[in-house]
Amino acid sequence: MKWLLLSLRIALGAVFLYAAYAKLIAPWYLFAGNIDSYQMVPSWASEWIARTLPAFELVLGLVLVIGWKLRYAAAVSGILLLGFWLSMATAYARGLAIDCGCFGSGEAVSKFTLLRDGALVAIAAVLWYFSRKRHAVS
Amino acid sequence: MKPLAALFALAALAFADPSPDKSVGSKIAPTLIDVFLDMQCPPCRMLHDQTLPDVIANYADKGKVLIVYHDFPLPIHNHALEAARWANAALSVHKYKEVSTALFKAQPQWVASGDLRSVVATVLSPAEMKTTEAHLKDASIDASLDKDRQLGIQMGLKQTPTLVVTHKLQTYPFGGFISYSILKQALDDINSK
Repeated sequence: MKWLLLSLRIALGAVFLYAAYAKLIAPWYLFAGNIDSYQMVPSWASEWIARTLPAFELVLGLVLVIGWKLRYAAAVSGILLLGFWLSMATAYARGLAIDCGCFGSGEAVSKFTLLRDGALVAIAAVLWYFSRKRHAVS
Repeated sequence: MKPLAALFALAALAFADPSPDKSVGSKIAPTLIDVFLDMQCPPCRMLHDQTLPDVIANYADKGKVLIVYHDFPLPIHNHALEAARWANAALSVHKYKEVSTALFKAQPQWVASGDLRSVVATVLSPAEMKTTEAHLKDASIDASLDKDRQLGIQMGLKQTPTLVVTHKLQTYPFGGFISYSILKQALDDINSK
């Protein structure tokens, strides 16, 4: 169990690190365009999210990988991923054929991206649950 | 965008001579914006009606960008191809932009009714309408639409609307609706390179 939880924590952290890397190597406005295409927030919010989220994902990925404050890191990850899932599900239900913006540009919102994000939410929930119960996960 | 696809697309763009009826701005502008639209897609309507007028006024009309329109009707939209045919048939009377603007503005109506002809008739004179209708079945329209579709495929298009900004052989694809405030910052940054 300990090794499984350790693997899940590092895997989730690596996903956040890769997501941050993919966004940070491209100009911020490409990601802002991805956010805009969801048509859920005003353009000033798209810009703010595009400028701050990649750095936040980077920090969250590092915190998960090193295992610091895991209970909080898992909770924040879960809430963030749930937010992504809800945004994608809404876009998918509205029939918007758009880039998910998950790892930079080039991947459309699909059943696969919804399943993948749902699995990540589940991983974050498992990590939060076991860290809350003071089980050893590092 | 995949490197090979981008190379093909750039080669196509470099040798393309966009029709003045399907482009806005100076042909010697430093930045090219290829706009791929499906006249039945609601985000395309938003981009066409909300974002592009400001880009035309502040960038194309000032010689900073050349905007080239491409039709990319998606098979999932039952009237999209017919709408693209009407707009391209109107090239015969040099009214592509007028017809496409009218079709975007009345999109909810003709999507519901399927009656595109009456929308087109609002911006064409009877004589222009007659000429346009005569060109509706032209093979040249199929060729033009196929050319746009092939270019979109080469550029790795996955959705409409898509804007592909090209500056100094570097491409920046924007998929989906994008607001003017973000596109403006992107164009300013890209043009400064």
